[in-house]
Amino acid sequence: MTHDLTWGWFFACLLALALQTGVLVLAAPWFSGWVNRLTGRLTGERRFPAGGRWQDSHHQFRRQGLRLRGDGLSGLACRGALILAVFAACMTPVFTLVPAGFPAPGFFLLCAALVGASLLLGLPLVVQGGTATLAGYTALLADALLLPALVPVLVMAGGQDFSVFLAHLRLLSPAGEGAPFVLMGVALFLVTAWKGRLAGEDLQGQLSGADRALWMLAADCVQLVWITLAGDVAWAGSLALPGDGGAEPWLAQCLAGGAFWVAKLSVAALLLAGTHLMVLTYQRRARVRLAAVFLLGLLAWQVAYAGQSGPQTGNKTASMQDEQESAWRDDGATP
Amino acid sequence: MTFPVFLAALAFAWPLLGAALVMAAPTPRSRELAIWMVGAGCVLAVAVFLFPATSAAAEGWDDDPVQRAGRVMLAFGLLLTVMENGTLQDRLLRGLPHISTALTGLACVAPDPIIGLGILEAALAYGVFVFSRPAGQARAGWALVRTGSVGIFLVLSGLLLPSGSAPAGLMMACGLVMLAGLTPFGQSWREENDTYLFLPFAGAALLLSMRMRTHGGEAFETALVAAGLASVWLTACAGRSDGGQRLFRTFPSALALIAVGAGADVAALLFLCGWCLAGGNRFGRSWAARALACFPPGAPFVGCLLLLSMLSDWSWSITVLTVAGILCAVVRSVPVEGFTQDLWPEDAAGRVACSVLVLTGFLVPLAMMLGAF
Amino acid sequence: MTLAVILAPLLALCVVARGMGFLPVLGAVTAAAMLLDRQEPLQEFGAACVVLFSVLPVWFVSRYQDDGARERSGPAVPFLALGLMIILQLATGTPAAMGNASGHGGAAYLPAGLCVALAGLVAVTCRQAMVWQWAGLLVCVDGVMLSGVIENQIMVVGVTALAGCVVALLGGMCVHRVMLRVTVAPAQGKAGVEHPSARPGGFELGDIDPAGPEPRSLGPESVVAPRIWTEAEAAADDEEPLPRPEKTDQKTASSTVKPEPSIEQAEASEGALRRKRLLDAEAAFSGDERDEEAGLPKAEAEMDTLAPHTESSEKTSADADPRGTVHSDDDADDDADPEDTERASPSAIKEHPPEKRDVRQDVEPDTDQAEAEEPAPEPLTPEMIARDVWLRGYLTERGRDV
Repeated sequence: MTHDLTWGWFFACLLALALQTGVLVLAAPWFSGWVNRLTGRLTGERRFPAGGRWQDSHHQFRRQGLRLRGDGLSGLACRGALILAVFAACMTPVFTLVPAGFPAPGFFLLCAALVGASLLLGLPLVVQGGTATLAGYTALLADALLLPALVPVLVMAGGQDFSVFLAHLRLLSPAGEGAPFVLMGVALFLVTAWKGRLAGEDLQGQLSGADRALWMLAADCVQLVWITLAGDVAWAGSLALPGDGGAEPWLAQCLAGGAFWVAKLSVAALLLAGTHLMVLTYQRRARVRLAAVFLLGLLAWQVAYAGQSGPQTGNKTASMQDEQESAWRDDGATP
Repeated sequence: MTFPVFLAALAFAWPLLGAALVMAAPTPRSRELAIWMVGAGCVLAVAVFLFPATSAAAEGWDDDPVQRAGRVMLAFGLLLTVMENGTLQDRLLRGLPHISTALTGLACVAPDPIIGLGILEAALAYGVFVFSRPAGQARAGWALVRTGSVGIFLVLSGLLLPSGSAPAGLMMACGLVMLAGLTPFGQSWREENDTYLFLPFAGAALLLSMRMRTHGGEAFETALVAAGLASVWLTACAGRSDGGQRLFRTFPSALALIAVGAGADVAALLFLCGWCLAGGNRFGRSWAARALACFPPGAPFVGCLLLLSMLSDWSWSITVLTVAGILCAVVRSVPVEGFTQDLWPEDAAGRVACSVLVLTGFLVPLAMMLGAF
Repeated sequence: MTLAVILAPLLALCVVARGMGFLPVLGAVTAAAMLLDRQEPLQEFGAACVVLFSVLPVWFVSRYQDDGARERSGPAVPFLALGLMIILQLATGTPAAMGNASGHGGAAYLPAGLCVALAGLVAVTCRQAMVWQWAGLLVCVDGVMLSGVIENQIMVVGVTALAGCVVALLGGMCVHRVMLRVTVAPAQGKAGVEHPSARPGGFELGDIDPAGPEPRSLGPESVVAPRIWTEAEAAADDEEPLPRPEKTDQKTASSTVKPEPSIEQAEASEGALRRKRLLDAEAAFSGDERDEEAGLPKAEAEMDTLAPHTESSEKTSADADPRGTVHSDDDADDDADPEDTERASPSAIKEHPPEKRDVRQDVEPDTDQAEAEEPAPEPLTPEMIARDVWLRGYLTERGRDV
């Protein structure tokens, strides 16, 4: 780990962050379309190819919008949601972490940005009225309650920088000591699992034109960012950590991290398509999602807490030393 | 091999031998043969009780006098079952009470309660196999397997947890309550199956619960007492309706569980005697109802006294609750018709049961005073 | 603490939430968790048992039709299991509770086996369908076995293996007695029409009115499948009926056409039925034929050889069966018309009741279905027709088994 952040690393990290953000935002519609197609494949329907979502967004963006009641507000909400989503995407490590001295956000800020984006995405439904209003209110309520439901997960990450947290997790193998964090990743994954989409039907209401495109892009971004977060937490070992050796190993790690990211996304797409097979009403979906996130997070926290004295993973080495010492003491006592 | 060990081994093998003979015998003669075999089995059980195999205890086989006396009760319960039933056509059904009694007796004596649970599961499987053979019984048989297996898995999970911890005690208590068939929690046994499998099965569960107290710790005892109290009070509240009558049939096992929880093993033994001889679907007879309701000449009455004396050391409030529950249940849900008539039953089975109940009620406190327990 | 140990409770939750389909995966993960722990004979024995008890029942159940029991328990059940797991973890996993437990000092600890067992217990107690309860009991077996292997308790492993055998055998027996054998979904291709032996057996499930008198309410969705549509039905109770995708075209067609012919038949007298059958003789009969075959596989084999005789005597004999004409006629139009299926089945049943009774008595002495008691009485209401179709399929399936 670097102790002094050189300017070269600084700029490299900035570049990597920009690249990550761009990749996330550009890949989001693809991922969403791919999940949609997989769901269709699983249910035996024919859906658009994976690129269709992206083309749809593109096409909607160029279309002239119909002016409806409350469109100004919903347009604003869509823009705000997209900004928040991109902001969250820029904070999410896709294939590399940032070195220690680099300003990195906490996990709470990340979650709050994502939840805020989801709230803004639910706003147009409520503003426009009509049949979708009830669903919109439900979505708003569910998203508002998401942050309390995430409390165990937030406690696990603690108040430290997210990048530092992941750098600690990086040392743990997910098949061994890091297994509780796989559970945490599953909890994070479930945040998106029963999101407002029911097998091809969107909750986007009656938006039109560019607003609709922005809405779709923002929704896809939020989904992909949650998934990426879950993947990062579940297996932090795939992320590159700058400053370990030189620039070359870092770049190689970045490439590998990108490949691993794609692999994680494909697994997540399969799982997401599987969850879409479950047909639930939207109220029930919201309840199932919140309860699953909260309870799984709680379980993960407990499992992690039993071994590693909770969120303070910083003194992990100390506790390991304690363990070793106690083991030696046991050894000394038994013969 | 010394004589007591031989006696003990013979006592366990005897019901199996009886089952084989009864199943092999021609139908008209089977009942007579079964009664002879079971009578000899009772004598054997009493002999084992009187001459304990001390050398076996050193090898881990259980040699608690209460357990031995409990096995005597199981043997007498089998005798009563055989005497009550007429000549059965179905060979497997004819042998079933013998086999289930043999297996449950073996389960009680096994060196490890875990093995006992396995043997109980085997007994349950055989019984269910026999019961659910006729048409229309598949789902009922499945319900029996389900409830029994859930109980056994609960007890096993409890045994796997660290000894003395609260979840271990709770899980074991829940499992044992299900195995003992305590009414709100237990099996949906039907009338005709009751005595064949359920009587020895629940009796063995009660006997096993005494041996698990060391592992269960305080939570185990508290949970057992709570479950027993709940059952007693539910019986009291259900009244004399049809459902109430069905609740009343497990009244002695509820009291026995309270006794096990309170540590009054001898009282539990006396209630077990009441359960084996008067419980199950015999609660409709007036003598059985009197015995179940803890009326004076009989083992449950003495057991009640013993239990209350032990409980008052344990906790006053629970004693008061138990007494009130028993009184309420007796007042509200004892079957009234013909309750006072028929003081000395006409049929032979009833006479045997009555005399055994009364004898046990007298002998057990006597033996306790002499220091046998 | 390995990943498999973490995944096992999650998969158990999946079994609680979704049904038996996740059981083999759970078994594999549990076995992996055991073998990763240590590799000794005990672990290997436990792993083998777990895999056996998880894979075999699922394979066995897959040969039977879903009994279509409506599940009244909602989606809250897995959360009950999850909450119990958390309580268990809270009670056993904290350092204070672990103080007197040896063996897992310090390391991350999850009583995974007991969590799995708890999930299984929840499934047994809260789910109503028999297969689901069976799956729950097998999950219990897996969990207790895992726990016993990890704690290295030979007795527990042995007893659990015995209990697993008991549960698997008795559960399989019960499944065999209360559920219908699965039939290959009919008319997936045209090959079935050309090769009688390879033809799919069984009647079209969609032909039966799900609201009919049979208590087991065979719906078109009641083929063995992941229990997805219980949720859909629960949702349909709540609000608007949700669409049910994933039916083959033919089933959709049959279920859409279904109400109409049953009304027709309610009005139609016996003579009208017979006349209609004769009129339809040259119309598409493949559906009818398929139905007949499904119903009478053995008789069909004989009838195939006797086809010309049947044809000659068809108009006179009371046992007239349009099958003969079909076999002699061209098989060109083989689109399965559900109306024909529906229409022809009552006539066949009317003509065969005594035979049916015989079949029932000597083939299946221990049918425990209430509705299997009496064959068709004289006045045929649509419900009775539906029941007869069902009964016929059931009996012949059982007969084939025997």
